[in-house]
Amino acid sequence: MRGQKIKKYIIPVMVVFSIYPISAAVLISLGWLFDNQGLQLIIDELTRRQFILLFISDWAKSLPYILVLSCILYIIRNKNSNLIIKLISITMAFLFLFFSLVIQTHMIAALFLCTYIAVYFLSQSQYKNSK
Amino acid sequence: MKTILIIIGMILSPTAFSQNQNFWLIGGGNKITNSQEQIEKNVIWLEKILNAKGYNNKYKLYYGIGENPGNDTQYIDQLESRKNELSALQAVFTKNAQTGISYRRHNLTNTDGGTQKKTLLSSLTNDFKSVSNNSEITLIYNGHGGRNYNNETENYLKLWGDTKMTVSELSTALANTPDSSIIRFILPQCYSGGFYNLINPGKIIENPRICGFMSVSETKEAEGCTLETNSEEFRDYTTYFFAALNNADRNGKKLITNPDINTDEKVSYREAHLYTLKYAISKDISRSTSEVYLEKWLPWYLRWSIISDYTDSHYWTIAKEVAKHNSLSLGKADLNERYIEMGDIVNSQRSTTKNLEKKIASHQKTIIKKLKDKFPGMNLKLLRRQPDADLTSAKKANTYIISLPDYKQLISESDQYKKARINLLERERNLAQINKVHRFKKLSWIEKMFFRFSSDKEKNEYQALLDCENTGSL
Repeated sequence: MRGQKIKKYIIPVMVVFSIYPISAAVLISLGWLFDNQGLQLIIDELTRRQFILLFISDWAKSLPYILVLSCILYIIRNKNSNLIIKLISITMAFLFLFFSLVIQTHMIAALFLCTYIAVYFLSQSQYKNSK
Repeated sequence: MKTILIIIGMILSPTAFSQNQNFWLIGGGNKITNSQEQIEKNVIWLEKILNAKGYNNKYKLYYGIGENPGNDTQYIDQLESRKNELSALQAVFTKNAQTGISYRRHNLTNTDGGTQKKTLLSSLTNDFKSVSNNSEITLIYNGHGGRNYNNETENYLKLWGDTKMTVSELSTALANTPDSSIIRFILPQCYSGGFYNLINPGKIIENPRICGFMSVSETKEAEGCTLETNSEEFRDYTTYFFAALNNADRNGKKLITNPDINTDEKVSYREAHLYTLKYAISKDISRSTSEVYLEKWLPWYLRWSIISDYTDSHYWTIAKEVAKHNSLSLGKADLNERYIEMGDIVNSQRSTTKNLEKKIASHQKTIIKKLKDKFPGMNLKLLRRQPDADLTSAKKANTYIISLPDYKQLISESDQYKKARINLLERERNLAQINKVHRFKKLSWIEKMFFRFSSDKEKNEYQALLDCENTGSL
């Protein structure tokens, strides 16, 4: 019972933590496709240690966004959510996407995609467990 | 719009000439074997420029051993090279079998002292304490830089006696200047990017105002500091920067393009820096504090973005001009293809030189072993320490080395090594031009993002750095 409870909380936390590195991996492959010179130069000018530190610092900064985004997407996908809260969440999700398109930030778009996929699978497994 | 305002600001800004300008020239190597003539030639040239501009009594000069007796400059004695009676010994005992190296005292007259850390720090502290209010301070360094591999914000200047002055130590000395002063630094040494932290990030708009120019990032080696004797071949940051400020190169030749962008008949430090970026064919990707500020501002969510073209930024103009001078395309695909192609050539050239270095070291080891059996205690360092020592035994040792078959191979590989080094440097310079185009495309995009998304405080800080860079001039 206790183990199941821990599993219930630990898995979402692990998923939230892994979203940024997965998004980065997605972008690296996309970056190679699109010749991302900006990223290339960052890697060229920094040492491996500096790059890892920068990555960890960015990862930490991204966590609040991922958490908020996860909640928004979870509410949207949850059938029992209040309609008003659902509408607010949809608006916020739309703003998130709009913001990423306006400033052409591929990282936010990748985070959105990865978080959506994560929330989808988490809620599916939760639904199966509750059955 | 903001860029236009900055350019208008540059045009309208009062000319920078100030009666209260003070210069500090610090130069020389950290030890006799790493104190190349090129550094001395640079300092002599800078002195000439300052004197010609009427700053005769407005600068302090600290160089190598200062006024102490002894030698502090290493040079290639071209006439003596290979004919030198001890050249074989020199080839065996010096790194990469370099011959013809000689040592002498610097040719500077009336230095204010040497650059040994302890004496230099106390001299600088006293100098800065005596600076009057509203002074403009320019700190110009010509020498070697070192890297703190654990923390690049603490990179250092390599000073005489193999001593080090870190970023924080220099910052502490600069803190003795009056709050009303403006401090500008010009640092062409290796790993100079670490000295960005002299501006006290987070306290930029507080006094005193600090800004500066650095030849490379905190992790890269800079061009220069070679034993090159032909001054036409000097391509370090100082050479281009001061040629622009002086509107003529060190041989007195007028520059092809006028570095004075805003045509106010005065070349500001920033204009000289922009000229260097556009026209320097060196391996340096130099940077000013305002450029690094923009790069450091870049938020996490923008770092992974694919850069768009922002053609109205002045950084874009630089990217365009560098591309034009080097027959490069601005297009992503073409530029990337050239980058990969040149990167591969540089890597292969680097491994060739490394292999030659290993071969040279191995031959030297074999010869030294044979030499020690026949002439125990023979050491070039010993002879350098005792200039009046009897050379009879050393000359015999020299003849013995020449007779060894390993020596012929050593000389042949040393010649190959010299050619490989020149080739590598040329390729590194080509690669740097491609990286420069990348960097300025990136900066033009970051600048646009900055004006859209930064806070008012950040905008003010950036503007303060730009003002500081724009208003400095000779």
